[in-house]
Amino acid sequence: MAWRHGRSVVEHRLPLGATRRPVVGEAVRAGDVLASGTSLGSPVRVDGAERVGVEGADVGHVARVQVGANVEPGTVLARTGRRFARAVTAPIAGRLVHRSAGGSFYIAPVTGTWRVCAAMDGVVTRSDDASVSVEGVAWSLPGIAAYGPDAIGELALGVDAPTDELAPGRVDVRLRGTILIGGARIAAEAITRAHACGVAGLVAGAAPAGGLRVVYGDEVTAFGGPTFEDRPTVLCLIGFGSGPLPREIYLPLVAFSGNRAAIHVASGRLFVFAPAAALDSEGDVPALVLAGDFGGVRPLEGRTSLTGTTRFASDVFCEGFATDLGVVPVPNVLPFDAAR
Amino acid sequence: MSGEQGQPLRRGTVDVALEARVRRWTVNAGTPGPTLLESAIVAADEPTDDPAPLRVSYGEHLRVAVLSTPEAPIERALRRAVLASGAELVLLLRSNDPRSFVERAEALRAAAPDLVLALVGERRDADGAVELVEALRAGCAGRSPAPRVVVAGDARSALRLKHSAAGLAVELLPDPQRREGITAFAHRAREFRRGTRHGAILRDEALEDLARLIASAGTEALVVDVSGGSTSVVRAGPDGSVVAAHVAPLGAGIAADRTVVRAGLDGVRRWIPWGIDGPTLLERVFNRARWPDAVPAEASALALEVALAHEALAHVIAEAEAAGIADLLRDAPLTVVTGTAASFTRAAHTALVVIDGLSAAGPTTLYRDREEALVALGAIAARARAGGNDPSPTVAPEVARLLAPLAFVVPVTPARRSRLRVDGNDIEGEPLGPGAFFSVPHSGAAHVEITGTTVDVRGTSGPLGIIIDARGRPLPLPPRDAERIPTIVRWFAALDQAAASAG
Repeated sequence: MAWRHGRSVVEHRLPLGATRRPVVGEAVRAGDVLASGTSLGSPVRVDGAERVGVEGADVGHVARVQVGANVEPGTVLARTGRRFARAVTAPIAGRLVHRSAGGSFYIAPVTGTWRVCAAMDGVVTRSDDASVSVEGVAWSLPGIAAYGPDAIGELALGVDAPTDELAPGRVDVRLRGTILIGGARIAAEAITRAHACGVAGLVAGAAPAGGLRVVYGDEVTAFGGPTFEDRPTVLCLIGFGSGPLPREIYLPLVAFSGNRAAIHVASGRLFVFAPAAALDSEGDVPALVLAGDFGGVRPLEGRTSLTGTTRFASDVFCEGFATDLGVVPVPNVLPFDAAR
Repeated sequence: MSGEQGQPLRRGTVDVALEARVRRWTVNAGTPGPTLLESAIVAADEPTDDPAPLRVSYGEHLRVAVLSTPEAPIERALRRAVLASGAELVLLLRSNDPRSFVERAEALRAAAPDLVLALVGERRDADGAVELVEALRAGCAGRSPAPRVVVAGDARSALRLKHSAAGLAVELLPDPQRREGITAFAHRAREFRRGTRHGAILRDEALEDLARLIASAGTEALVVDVSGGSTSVVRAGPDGSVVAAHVAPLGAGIAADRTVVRAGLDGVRRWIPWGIDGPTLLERVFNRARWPDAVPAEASALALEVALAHEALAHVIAEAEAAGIADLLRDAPLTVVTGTAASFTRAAHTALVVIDGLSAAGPTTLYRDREEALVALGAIAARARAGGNDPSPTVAPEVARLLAPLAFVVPVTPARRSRLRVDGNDIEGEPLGPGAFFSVPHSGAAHVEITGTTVDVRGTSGPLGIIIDARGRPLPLPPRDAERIPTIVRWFAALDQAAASAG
């Protein structure tokens, strides 16, 4: 079972310098700004404890500004005494980013802003300086890896069949803000063109690993990962290279076209915000087969049977599985939703 | 049912985790010591009759960040500690790092460490280390769960670091520049990796105890393990001392993509004995990484796994080099190969991975594990040791029974007119010049002399005979495909022919 309607928790990691984030229990909608903050430059360190004449651990008691607050030049950071006051002031405009255990203040100039949008309709269940979690109900489809920032938009079809490759020519600015469904493969050209046209995200059976490297850099791995920078968002559903989608995966995507959806990159899932009754059933999905040279993944279709211990071209002996396209090792056949 | 010597059979189970499934060994746990009976690959959740099966697992993935002062000995000590622990070093931040406070904090947040190891060697370096800890607090204190901090080194400085890490859980451990410090950190890290699976033996623990068992016979021993998700090299001495490098994720299977990130695509491709373009290779690597326990059905997939094993091992040696322990881990008189690297159908593949990956300069007798049997015995020994018993008298005989030599490997830098003598007889045939790489059919104890050099060594050969390696170090692998491919093919063929002639 791949498509599932139910409750999911989605975690949103936050960069350093959050200035606003929701409180637990707050209702959010996918696409809403969940948290925002500032990018920070090189900070200035101001000795606090020594200047106001207290122990480092006690600076908190005499501090006038909370960590995270904006300051202007001359803003009093901490102050002691009344008639003969001793104070420490901010030398520059910026944000108080940190107060050390020794009582020093770190003030960094603000160089930009960032914001993180929700990837789920639901309620905030956890909110701290580093992440915000949202729990909600939606249709979900797990993929094996996603890349880029979270994407939110309307689902749109970019191919005519689940075995088609998304042609760059099918992508234009009219698809701006959508999550585009590719078929078996989305090449790097289609990814970069879609990004240039403002497409929010791409979903397909597979993407070429070399293409992902071109787009996301040499550090990219098969497990994907979120980025905060402005990059394309890609969700690979079954593998790398080429991965024709099973009908049981593709037809619901067709049915969901026009619905609001989100790609949550950290968990590699596609969420579709549609009623539970939008799909007739949660039908079984065929197993997947890994190609003998590891070059691609395909659905296991047609008649199959066990062949017993078989010697393969690599001289490996292993239990075999006869398929329409030849005998494959049994371990190279996995259920669609197997942990991998 | 009875055992071999008429004693009652006490069946036990040892499950050695592969990538998604397990290799299940049935063990006769009777006296005088355990004997392995049979094995099969089963699903990880397959029930067993044994109420208390011994499970060997990789453990949880532990991400470690290191905060170091810039002195080379300190950094080497910290690297040694991380290598011994089996954790992944996600960030090494020096106190002279040119990045600003905010950038350091961002780097620490992005690295998302589970554990942070901070070491100050001298009191005068404490200020820089305190700045790093403050950056850690700024970047990670708001995270839930926040990373734990392990502080070591000069006592007063360590207390300063502990004080500056307010709000984070801090532990003080012995200085990793001393052996007990490394052991203490490795032990702590393993407790993290074991998580709630109390009683489970981690694969690296099993490998270390396997090395100790083999070395208990009186010879320095090296255990080389390249598996799907981790790569280890362990050296043990007859006195029970162990030097180890465990790197995860790095391997020939589910960590294949990480091996490519670390070694580079060309680094892996150079070991494949035919032309293949980078994007195609990368696609195969990524699919292999996301398919646990995949079987290479075609020769090209097998070649990929062999190439990945080469690079994974070479990379561990490079990491050991940075930690100052590479010379110890490169060679020993006895080398045992386990994991994926030992499971290749052709023994030649196993031998080449170890010879090329280690790039050893000294002779060694090469052995290989079959079906994770030696790892299972290492785990049995580790459990016995954890219970306060010395496993050598009971487990070592079974290890000795299973050890069968594969080849005697003799690296050499030949002189102009060097001649090869085995057991006192001149060997004619293969020319012994620079670049030579061939195998001499031989089985059993061997005495190898090479005239004009200092090589006068003894070892034991097996199906691959005596391998003479005069290729030099580092290996001269031509960059162009037209020269590289025939070279690689010749090396494979040299050992394959030996195996074929041995039957």
